Amino acid sequence: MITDEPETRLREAFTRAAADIEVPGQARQRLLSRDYHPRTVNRKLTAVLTAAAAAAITVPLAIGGGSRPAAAGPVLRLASYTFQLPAGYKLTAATSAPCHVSVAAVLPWDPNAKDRRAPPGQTAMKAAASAAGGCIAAVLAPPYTPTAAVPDPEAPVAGAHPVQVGRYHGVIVHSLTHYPPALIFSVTGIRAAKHHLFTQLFVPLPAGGGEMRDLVIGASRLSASELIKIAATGLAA
Amino acid sequence: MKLVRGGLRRRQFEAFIADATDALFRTAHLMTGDAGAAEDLVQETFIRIARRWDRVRVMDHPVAYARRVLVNLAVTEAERRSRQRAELTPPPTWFESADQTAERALGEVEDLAEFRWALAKLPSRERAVLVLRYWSDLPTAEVAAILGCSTGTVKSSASRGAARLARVLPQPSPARRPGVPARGK
Repeated sequence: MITDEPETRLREAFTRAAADIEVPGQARQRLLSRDYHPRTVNRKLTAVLTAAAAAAITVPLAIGGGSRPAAAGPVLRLASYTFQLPAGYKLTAATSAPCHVSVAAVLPWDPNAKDRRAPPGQTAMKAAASAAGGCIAAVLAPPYTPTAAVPDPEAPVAGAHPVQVGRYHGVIVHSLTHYPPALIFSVTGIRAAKHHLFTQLFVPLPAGGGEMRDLVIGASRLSASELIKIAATGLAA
Repeated sequence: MKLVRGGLRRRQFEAFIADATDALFRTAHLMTGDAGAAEDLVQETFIRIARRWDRVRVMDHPVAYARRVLVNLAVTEAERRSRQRAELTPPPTWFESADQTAERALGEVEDLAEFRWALAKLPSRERAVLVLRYWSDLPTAEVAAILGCSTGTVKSSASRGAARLARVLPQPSPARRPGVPARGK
């Protein structure tokens, strides 16, 4: 029998290398317990919010004052926080296109889960869109009481990286979840489709009475550092 | 009824994840050389699969399809990163000191870390070819189909990558005939 010695050695090396790889218990647990099905927009909630937005055209989406630098974009106000957005963005209703998808993506309150907390209201979610199709969505999640078992029910457990946001600790996660499939099948084979990275920043903030609530900011065309800078300046004010 | 069907689909998907996680994680680890990156890669793969689960679950080999998605994600991500920043500088003595490495007792090169390091230093497509060809044991044509290239490209990539990896593979002990002294002795 003819054997290809180098190939055999390579196969053996790969077998040994792979056998040496153990799936870490926590990683396995995270992979098995994660909900991979994309969140769907709660149609009832969206309808209510859209109606509210339509009824009150003057939704409190305040645009930045004159004291801001001319090159800067609008100011997004969320509760008592004011976030200076980059130039080129325009505030928009959180429940209308193109940002409704981004808002749904960052919405920590899952209507399909057994979340007994009240959903975030209209004033707790704001968004701004750019002409290029980018979107920045910010949501204040409903308050929660952190426990040892569940320190933060909103923050993702997989793929998240701890970051410092001003004087607060947060986590950031990158995702391609809400964009078209990354693989295109064609007669010439498989190629990667163009997609945009969606970045989400979770910052737990004190809500009083021992409770916390997460500020969640997601953006489709901003780098992590840009997103952190926006959040840090808003939380510092 | 819809809820029942949805529940069944979800249970099938969960069973698929439980079944595929280990194999995909190992493939991802070989592709990335890092446990954290491997976990991210497997997670992203599952997200993609979940989106098209209705199609995937009726396939003959859903895990093979997931591996295809994973490898392409890994290649795409590696190419994106390499465009953004230069690759890590290899250790100053690795490629250059292949002879010195050989001079060491090659029996000690059981060190899998060195093999993994060498693997991680290969261009992402070359790495993908080797992982699919020699770890997943796929035929050349299937590797070509997964990566969207010709079989000739797969063969040349495999040859190039194998030659580089061969430098860190333990050499087989030369069979010595009894009574014939070793050279120089």
